[in-house]
Amino acid sequence: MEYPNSLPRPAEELEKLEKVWEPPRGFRMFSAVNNNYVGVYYVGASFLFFILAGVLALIVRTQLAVPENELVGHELYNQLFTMHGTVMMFLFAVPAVEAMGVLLLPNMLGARDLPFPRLSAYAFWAYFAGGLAFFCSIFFGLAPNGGWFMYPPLTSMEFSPGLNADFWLLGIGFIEISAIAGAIEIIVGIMKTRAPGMSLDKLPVYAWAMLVFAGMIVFGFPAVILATALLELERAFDWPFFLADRGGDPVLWQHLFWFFGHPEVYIIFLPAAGMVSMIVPAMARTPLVAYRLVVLALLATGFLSFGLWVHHMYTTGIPPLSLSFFSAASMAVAIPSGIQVFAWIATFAAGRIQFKVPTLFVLGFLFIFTLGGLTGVMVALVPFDWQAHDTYFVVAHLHYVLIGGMVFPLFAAFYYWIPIVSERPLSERLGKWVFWLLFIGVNVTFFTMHITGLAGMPRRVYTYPENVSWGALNMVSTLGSYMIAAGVLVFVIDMFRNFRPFTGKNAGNVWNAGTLEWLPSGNYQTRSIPHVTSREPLWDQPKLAHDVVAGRYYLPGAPTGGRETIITSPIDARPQYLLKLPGSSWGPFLGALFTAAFFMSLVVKLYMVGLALGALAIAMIIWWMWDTDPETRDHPIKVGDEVELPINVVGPASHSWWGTVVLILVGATLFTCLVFSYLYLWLVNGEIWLPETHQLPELVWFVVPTALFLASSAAVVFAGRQASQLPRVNPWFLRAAVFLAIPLMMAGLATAIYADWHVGLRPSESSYGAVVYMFSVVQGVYVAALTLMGLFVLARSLTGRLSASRRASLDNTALLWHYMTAQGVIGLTLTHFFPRLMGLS
Amino acid sequence: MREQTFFKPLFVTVSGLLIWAAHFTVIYAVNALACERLWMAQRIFGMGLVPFLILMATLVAAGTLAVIGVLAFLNRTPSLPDAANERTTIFLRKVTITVLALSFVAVIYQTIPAFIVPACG
Repeated sequence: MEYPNSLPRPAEELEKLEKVWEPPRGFRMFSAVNNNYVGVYYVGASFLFFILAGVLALIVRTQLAVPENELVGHELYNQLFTMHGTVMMFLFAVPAVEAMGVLLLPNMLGARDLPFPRLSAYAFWAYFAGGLAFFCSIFFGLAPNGGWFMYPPLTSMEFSPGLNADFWLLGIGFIEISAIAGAIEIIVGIMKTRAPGMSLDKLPVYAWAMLVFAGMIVFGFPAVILATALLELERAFDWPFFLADRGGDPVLWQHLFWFFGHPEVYIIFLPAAGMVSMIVPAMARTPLVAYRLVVLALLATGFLSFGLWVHHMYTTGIPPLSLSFFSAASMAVAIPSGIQVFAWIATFAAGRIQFKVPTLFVLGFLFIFTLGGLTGVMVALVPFDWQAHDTYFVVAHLHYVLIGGMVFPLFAAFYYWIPIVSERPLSERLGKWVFWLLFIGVNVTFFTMHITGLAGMPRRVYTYPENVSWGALNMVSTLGSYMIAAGVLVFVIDMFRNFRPFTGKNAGNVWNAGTLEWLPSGNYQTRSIPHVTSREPLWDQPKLAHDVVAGRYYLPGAPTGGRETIITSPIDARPQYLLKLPGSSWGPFLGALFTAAFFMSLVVKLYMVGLALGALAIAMIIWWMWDTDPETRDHPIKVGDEVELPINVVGPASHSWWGTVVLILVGATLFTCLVFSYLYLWLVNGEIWLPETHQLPELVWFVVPTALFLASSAAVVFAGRQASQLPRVNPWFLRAAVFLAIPLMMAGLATAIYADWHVGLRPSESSYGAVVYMFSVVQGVYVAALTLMGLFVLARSLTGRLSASRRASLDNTALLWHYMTAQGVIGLTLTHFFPRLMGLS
Repeated sequence: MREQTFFKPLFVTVSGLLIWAAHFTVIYAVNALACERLWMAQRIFGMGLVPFLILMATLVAAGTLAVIGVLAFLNRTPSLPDAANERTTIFLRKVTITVLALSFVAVIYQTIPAFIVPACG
């Protein structure tokens, strides 16, 4: 092929690149935003939570080792198992796989960094600070105690009057924010920052897995965000969403929670499967068998997993045919999982296996995960589940799936990828000890639990009598759990001995793997960004590493004098423009700390303090946003001898446009879940849902707010048109339009609320009132956010930072604005016309 | 290449799964409504209301899957605009066909219980 750049490169080019990407030292390491640092912090923090949650599990197992044990009382025991599950799922599993994505993806895709580095940093610090504060609640007896899925009415105010449930509901708020921020980063990163030539058919399987994973977060997490908001509003203000005596329904919580909770299992598993799909070919020294079918399996699993949520609810009284749909889908999802398992086995069979530690962990994963899958098919069958539900059989199944499906691949990934971030690889000898201790420990602990469950032991009991014969089984499980702990301890020792990040050096391509992350790299990733012609470029382009280091490929220096990466088209990865990336910044770090503190203040009911902290968090975010959308240049920038790229683009090719669209998808999913809640409560509680005496507002109260929302959007459209004609038109027209749009939008919200209020509807009187006002609450969040965004646009215009070619802030605000209008109109249409259509008023 | 040309091929690639999701939603909603509102005893053409409506939904879904499958097989679905992307286009088309096949199996599979299991117990 022809190279984009000729040799020799100017002597000062590399020096300048290294200086631009120089990592921060000392205290300034907290302000680091690039993925080599944030990724390592992120993985380390998630592993810390893995250890903390593991310690809680050890206490639980010690309590259960013998019958009638008094080591911990029932109250503390409830907090222990709740925190174990919550921390493992929310603070370890999802963050760990997201962290691996942040760390690996830029290397693997041939990018210098992900497109929103400060967002990654913010997501990490919010999660870490908030997570630590949340974990500390157990030391004060304030930890949640309703189980990791927090079913009402047990968690309603009547039965959980303390702060414990609030810690869970608000405490995971920042984790949800963090996960969604990471998902936006990952989607846009994979679609827009791939190396030139890396079309979708050459995309590493891990990137496909992360793309599906991030998509699942976008469509799965909003359900639990809404659920937690509803339950917190019920607890704080007595809005009866889940209280059956006032038209609510506790099963609504289960629908919303498991609509997130079951995909959550695959949200955890798919990235792990993606890692395995990268490790297996390298360890077998041959390309992955059936790449296309594995991609199909990832896509299919991502979709089908959303059709499984009711299989956690087989005992709630749902009609048998409805259960059968979910039973069928639960069995159907085994097909794509099976495709992947057979592809890995076939790849091993086709190659020459290197029996190193990553291989062992992959084989352990195949064994344990397959067993978990088989018991999964068992509990997917309704009659069997009726017997096994809420017994230790289910505990055994879920641990087999989650430990087999995620923990083992993660350990494989640690041993496999640490050479790219550490000066030394981890120890083979210690690694084998880690593997066998974990493998034997997991099977001893959890295989036994299948029998314990079939013998009738229910989950979540803090002790049991001597005469039920569960003692020996529990003792075996407890011994196994200590074996797991020993394995983790050996791993920690291995890390202390060998893990040396941030030294500017790495161990290199120790496995002779074929993908881009194994290219020689510095803090700027690769010296030049390669042109990719196959799925395993290092195998198929033998001189690639040499040519990349020599600077023969794209962007061998830092032509703008700052950090940059190339943005490419989503399917065929053609270079589109050069993205200027930010350097180290305190904004994300401080913004994240204030965000976490804001949520914690709400938990302990310090509302005024929370308000101040929330304002500070917003101020920090605005501070870091201020220097986004940099000034454009009249001439394109050279990234190769004959290749020039513009610095900035507007519209759908822009990475920020993509980010906004993904954010809108998150909002639309949350809104859809709210519409489902409204219709669900009508369906199951139709008799008392809408009080007979209630009068709906006259139709004028539908027309007025609708007109106001539409008018505000029209003003924003006008502003956009003015912006595209700058500097030929007076900028005050644009400013006036944006300034007018804000009060129009506020008036729309105010009239929508007044419409219901003036006819006597109150949110605390019935679930109907609560859910109708909830539409206004959700709309209010957008109105508040867009007010800030509108003022931000105004400020940028007034300071000369808005022009026809520098308008991302206005374009993205406009996108979100029109979404808000659409959502408002749909909500108003539903709440005004659905009851009339049903003859309810 | 205009950015919007990306959306059509992607949409077609996952169209099978989107149809599966729509079918799943419809049949679940039909059964939930029938059981809550006690419509399950009604009959149409000698069949129970619920199995009849589910059969109709399945015919629509399976028919749509088949039509898109045939179009993909004949290379009549949206593709990338130039010859340089032929390998990528072929890859996406093959993924599309396999996704459609798996979705077809899933749609049929979740329809079968409607003729075996009583709708509302």
